[in-house]
Amino acid sequence: MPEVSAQQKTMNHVLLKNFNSSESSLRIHLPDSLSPRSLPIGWKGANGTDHHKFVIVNPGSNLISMKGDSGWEGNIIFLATTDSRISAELVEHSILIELLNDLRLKPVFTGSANFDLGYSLMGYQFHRVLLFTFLIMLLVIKLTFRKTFLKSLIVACFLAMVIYSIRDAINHYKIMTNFELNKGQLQPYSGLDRFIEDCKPFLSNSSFTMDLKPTAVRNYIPYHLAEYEYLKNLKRGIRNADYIITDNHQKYRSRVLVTHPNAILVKNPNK
Amino acid sequence: MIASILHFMLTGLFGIAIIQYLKKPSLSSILILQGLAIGFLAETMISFLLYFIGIHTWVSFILMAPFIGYSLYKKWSDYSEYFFRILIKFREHRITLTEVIISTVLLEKIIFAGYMVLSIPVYFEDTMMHWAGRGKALYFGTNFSMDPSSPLFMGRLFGHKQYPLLLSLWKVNTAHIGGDWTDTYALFDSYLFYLILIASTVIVVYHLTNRILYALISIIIITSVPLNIWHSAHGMADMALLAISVLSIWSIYKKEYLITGLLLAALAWIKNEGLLIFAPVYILGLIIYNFDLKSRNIKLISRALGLCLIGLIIPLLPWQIFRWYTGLSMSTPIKTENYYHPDSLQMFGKFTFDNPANSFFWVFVVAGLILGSSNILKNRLSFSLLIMLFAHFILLIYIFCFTGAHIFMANQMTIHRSLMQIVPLACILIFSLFAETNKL
Repeated sequence: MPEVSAQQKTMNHVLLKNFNSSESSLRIHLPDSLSPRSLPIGWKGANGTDHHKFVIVNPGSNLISMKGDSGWEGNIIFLATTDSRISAELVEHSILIELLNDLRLKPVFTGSANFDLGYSLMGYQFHRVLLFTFLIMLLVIKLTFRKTFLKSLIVACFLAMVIYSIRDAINHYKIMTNFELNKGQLQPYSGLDRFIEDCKPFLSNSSFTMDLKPTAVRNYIPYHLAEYEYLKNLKRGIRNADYIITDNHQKYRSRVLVTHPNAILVKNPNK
Repeated sequence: MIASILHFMLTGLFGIAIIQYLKKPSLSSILILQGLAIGFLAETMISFLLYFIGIHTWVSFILMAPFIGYSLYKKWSDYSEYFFRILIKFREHRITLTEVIISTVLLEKIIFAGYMVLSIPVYFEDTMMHWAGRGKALYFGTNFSMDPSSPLFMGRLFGHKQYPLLLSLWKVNTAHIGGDWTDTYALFDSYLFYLILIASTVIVVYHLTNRILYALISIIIITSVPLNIWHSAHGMADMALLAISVLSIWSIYKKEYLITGLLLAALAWIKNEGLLIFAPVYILGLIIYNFDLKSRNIKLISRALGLCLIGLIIPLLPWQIFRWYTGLSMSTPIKTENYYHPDSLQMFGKFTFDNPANSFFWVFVVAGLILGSSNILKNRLSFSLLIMLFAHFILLIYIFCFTGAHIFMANQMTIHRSLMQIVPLACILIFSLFAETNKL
């Protein structure tokens, strides 16, 4: 079964088996009782290689275009995910699915790296589509309305930017809806406040350190403990810390004290 | 939210009170915006000094109060007349359908940014580290020290100790007014600077083109550069740089040299590149704008430069002395790799011209420069802005392609933000060329 990463769950819930992926996309059903989520899906190709990707799904039916995804070709041995409450079916790929897929939610970013907002249209990056639109409009305005080049340029740029703004507004609306449906929780911080509260009794009288990948979570914890004196006990190295907040507790072979999908508190086995 | 608005009004009134002693006392929209920017600088520098001597930063409000009170007492009739004038002007202006449509596009962005400030918690790493993280530690008085031997020196548990404190201190003072630290207070300043950016760009382009339609178009172009909307509610420093850079352009244009210096000081007190990149570039722009080849007006340029440097250096003295005294460097530690990094120019070009973060904006700018090239020498402002844009680009190319900061381009951490910071300058340049073409 494919794994999203060493620390994350194995995708052991099979959605579909032995099917031909040519010209097919997916319809994924998420029960109404569940909140919107970023769902990992993985598949094994006929040549035995594993592939996976994350898709954002809302309660109900979600059309997901798989066109162009790595390994989504020919016969697929199985398609799987992590949650047994989810089901999927194959649908014939069409332009409509492609368009709907292009209008899917692009989530709020949590990191500072790479601001690629990732909009696309029919498989083309949206900023390139806009560039093409801008240049075409520049020529049309210049030739049709006989305006000066600079005026045509400004109007063409403005119109292309309005097109971008409309696409962006659709995403803004989806972000707001998604955020409200998630009851004000933002991934990957969802549940971290509870985790920090549960950690406080351990951290308040001892030294601790963080062995987390360079993710937003590593900065979230100090930010939320900024008011406490005991944050001074945060050590840079693992050697002197009583407790470790990590995303890979197996590395320490120590008793797990508090857990969260992205962070786990363990006692330092060397202390 | 109420605390944020109240704080913004106090800062603005304080800044206006200061600025009215520095230039002609007639109240105008741009003076209010300049006042806000200078209020940010003055209030937070006072707070910094207070904190340094061990006094709570909120005491700055007590020190500001007499200035605000006196200014309100002396200028109350000016203020009321000004707002009355604005209302009449607004009523007299016949709003066209095009303006309504454009304003709707803009309003959507403003509403979404407002939603993010009010509803979405601090989620951006740099905000949690450098700006809000150090601010929160300062507010609670724990985990922050000004003693260079302390492990908590300048909030280094959270972010870079080398970063200036304007934004963190302003967040702290908002939290003092509100009575507690909230994420809205941590993010509100970005939103405020977003609104200042919109208002100041509209004013500058309106004055260049004499048409409200073009002013609105210019701000749609600027705010539609994809990164801008995210920075409107991030609580980071970049939106502040954008907004104050537009006000600096205006002050150069209007030959308000002392104000230019103060605005450059505000830029330097927001982020180190304010001092290392913006200040030299804008001073160069000021010199070129005032230079006359025929009369060789060295005296005039010397006076302009002198006033600008006074405005830049004096407010920053406490911070620079503190830096020198504590041995705080100007930049964050990076590897000394001062040589050309192979392929970095191609990478820089790709991120500028073919990246979703900037969309097609820089293609528009290059096309605008080519099509408007015949007007560049006709208009002194356009020429100065062009030189400023080139100088800024040269500095960015040097930093990202020839120093250890190359890493921030390779991992795309800073390059997009650095390019975003010059979007208003480039856009105003294109509109100034356009204004010259049409003699509007």
